[in-house]
Amino acid sequence: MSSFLRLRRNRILIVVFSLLIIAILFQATLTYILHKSRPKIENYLSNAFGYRVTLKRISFNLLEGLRLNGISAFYPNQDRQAIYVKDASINIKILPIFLGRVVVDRIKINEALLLVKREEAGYNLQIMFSDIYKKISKNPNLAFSLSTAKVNVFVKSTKLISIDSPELEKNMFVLLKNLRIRQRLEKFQFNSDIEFNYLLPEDSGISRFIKDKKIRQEAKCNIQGNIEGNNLIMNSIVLSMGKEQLLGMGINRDFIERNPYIDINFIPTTLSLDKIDFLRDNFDFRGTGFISLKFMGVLDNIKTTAAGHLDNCSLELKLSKGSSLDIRNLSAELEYADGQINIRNGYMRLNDLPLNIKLKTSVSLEPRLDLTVSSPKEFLTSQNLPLDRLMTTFNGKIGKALTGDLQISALYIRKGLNLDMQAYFKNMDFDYSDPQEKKFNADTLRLSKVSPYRTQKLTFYNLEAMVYLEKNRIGIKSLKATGYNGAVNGRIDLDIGDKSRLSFVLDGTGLDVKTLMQDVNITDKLRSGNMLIKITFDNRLKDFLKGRLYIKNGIADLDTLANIIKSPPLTNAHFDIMHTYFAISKDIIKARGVKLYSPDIRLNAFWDTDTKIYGIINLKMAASLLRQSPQFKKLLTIAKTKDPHINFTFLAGGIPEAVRVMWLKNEFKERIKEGLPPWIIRSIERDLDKITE
Amino acid sequence: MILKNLRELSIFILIFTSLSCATGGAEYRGIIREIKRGELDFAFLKLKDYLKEHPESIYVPQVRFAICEYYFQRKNYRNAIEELYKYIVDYPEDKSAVFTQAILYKILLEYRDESPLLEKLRKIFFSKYLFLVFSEAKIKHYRSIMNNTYKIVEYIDRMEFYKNNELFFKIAP
Repeated sequence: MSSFLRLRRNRILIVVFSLLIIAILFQATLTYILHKSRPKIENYLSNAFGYRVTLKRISFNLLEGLRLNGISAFYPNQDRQAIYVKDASINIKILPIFLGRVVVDRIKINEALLLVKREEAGYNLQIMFSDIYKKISKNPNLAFSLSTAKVNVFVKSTKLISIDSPELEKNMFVLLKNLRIRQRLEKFQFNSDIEFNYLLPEDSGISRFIKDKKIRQEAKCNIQGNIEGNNLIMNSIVLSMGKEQLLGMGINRDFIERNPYIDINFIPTTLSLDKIDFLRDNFDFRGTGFISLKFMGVLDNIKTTAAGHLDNCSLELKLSKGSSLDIRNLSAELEYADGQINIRNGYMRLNDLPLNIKLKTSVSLEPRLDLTVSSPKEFLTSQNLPLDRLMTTFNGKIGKALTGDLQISALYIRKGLNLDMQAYFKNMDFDYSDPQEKKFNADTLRLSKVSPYRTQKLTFYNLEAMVYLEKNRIGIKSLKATGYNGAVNGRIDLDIGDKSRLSFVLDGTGLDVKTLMQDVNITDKLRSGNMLIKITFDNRLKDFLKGRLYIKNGIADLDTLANIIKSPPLTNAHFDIMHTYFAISKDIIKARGVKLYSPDIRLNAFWDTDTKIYGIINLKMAASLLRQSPQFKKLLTIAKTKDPHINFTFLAGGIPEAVRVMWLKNEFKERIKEGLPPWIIRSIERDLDKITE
Repeated sequence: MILKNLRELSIFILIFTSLSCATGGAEYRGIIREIKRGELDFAFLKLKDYLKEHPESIYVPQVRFAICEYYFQRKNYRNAIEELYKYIVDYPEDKSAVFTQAILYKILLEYRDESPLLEKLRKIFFSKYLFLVFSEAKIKHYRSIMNNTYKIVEYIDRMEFYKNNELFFKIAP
């Protein structure tokens, strides 16, 4: 024996070295055999699974076991693989090999890509899993059963992408990291870090509210449960988002079928909503919510429902650069089902304005929005507004612009009467995203006021305006609309503060009096004409509404006047111009003056009213017109007047609801009085009494 | 001939008497005589009985008005207000209604000058249009069975109420 071998240490070295060489040779040989057998292995796997499987590289490693690179599994008739595993290693137990059995100890996948697609029977991956499992179970050579197997799978990173767009990076995906699935007999455990990502399409209406147009949320998921027959019983589900946790349990019924049934319930929990990344990063959401969550349905049609309530939350909605809606003290009942979010009995402060809110919206790229906001009664009282209700309702869509129908309604109480007032914008389009001027259009604007006694309305078309939104201020400028054969334009300002202020100025030109009066329903005495009107409104002033109007080339019914002075009927009195100006306060409508000019009549009346009237009415009528009345013809004869015009001056008094008029002395009146016998004078006065009665 | 006339006269007297008895006319005239004699208290009691016994009589409005006046004159304002109010409700369109309202207004003016009913009455007084063509005022008269004369003079800017030619009160809108 050589001296080298005499040393024990050297003998050990030789043995180890020999074993090492054998191992390397074994590894190399096996790798070579496996590599050569790759097509056969691919074939075998494809037949065993029933799905085409390709393999880029297969090797053997003494430490890691079988190494596989570039494994692809294809769904039938598709070029793109449904499953792609970049790099995996399968640890196989050594001893059972000598007994002719392959026992997998552990599967480790470094990186994988799963492309999820909805097929007719369900999701492609679930279909493949179901088919493969059933095939393997029946294969006598493989003798595999999940209920008796021991599974240990670790996936470092796998991405599940839902294929909607051919550009993979634009699709929604879920990233699972450090995914571990362990199963021993009937017990199983699932752990993973989950990251949900969704890149909103460029033209999506809600993308402007989301940072980088990306919805992203991270969570950790831990599931423990049992396999009972064909069912996965999830005894414990823990979903963690930051420090917040949702606890639940559920069942995956017939999980080996192509479209199993999922039923998962999470226990109602109070969550700090600022711990939810998506809400915090995009809306600066703060506050708590008490929420219960449920998932139920077949795998390819899982219905998600949630219910709960929000408490004292705050968030910010960025409309555009420099313009946002600041929402505070939001408390509401919340419901989500069938893709619809429902908020009821809500209260919030929107840019410091207290509002009750009710909302329904859909979870889609251009969500439908049904929103009702109303001012609490206490707020209306604190602002000294004589309103019992102030409410805004929007029904439409929110996309790049807000489109739909908008209604603003108020119940105005005036002198004990309920006046139901509404402004209805049909087919409005509001470009809220513009940082400076936000365009507002509407096909129709209908204003109405309904009292127990009458209905009044105004309808305008093709409304255009520019809206400026600041924190406590809304300005509407360059307001234009058409209607009644004419046009209106103006501006509106609303300041919201300790004492809110609403003011507006409106000018109307070329308005047709006949159709306008039919709608406005103030008087049927104005028969026709062309109107020019200017109205100013300021809720802080005592006379909050003032106006001045001119009517050209019109016809008016002046029969009341004709009856008083016994002139010929003036049912259709033509006039060149009529001018009146008026003011409305909380208690009274003051029509301050009326001027009416026509070839035969000149009326100039001025009066002031507070609770009572004081005024003068000057009336000049053509004698030729007056002679058309037989009674007046006689009076003119008695008066022996040859003037082409007769002047009347009246004094007005009384109250607006019952005017008193007195014919003041003048030459014409004195001549008539002298010429008429007393009994005729008394008869005239009795006739007048009958008219007033 | 004379007999025939006498017969007709008798029938006439019989019918007249029956009618008088049926409507309480004789009683009514009796009460008026007592009032003329200045026996107001006795007359008042009889007026009350008259109402109970002849509720359908054509003289009921005048009787009720007289009862209101009696209470007013005796400064029994509580009963006066009650009776005046009932009268206004029952005969709103009668020509005497405005005079009843005037008496009610006078009572409230003197003793309950903050009553909201004053404002309501003021609105009623000025609730009708008035056109003064040849005169500067419109005048209405009323004479009650209590021998009081009432006059209302309506001007463009006010109304004046007179009782027995003395100014009762003035009112503006």
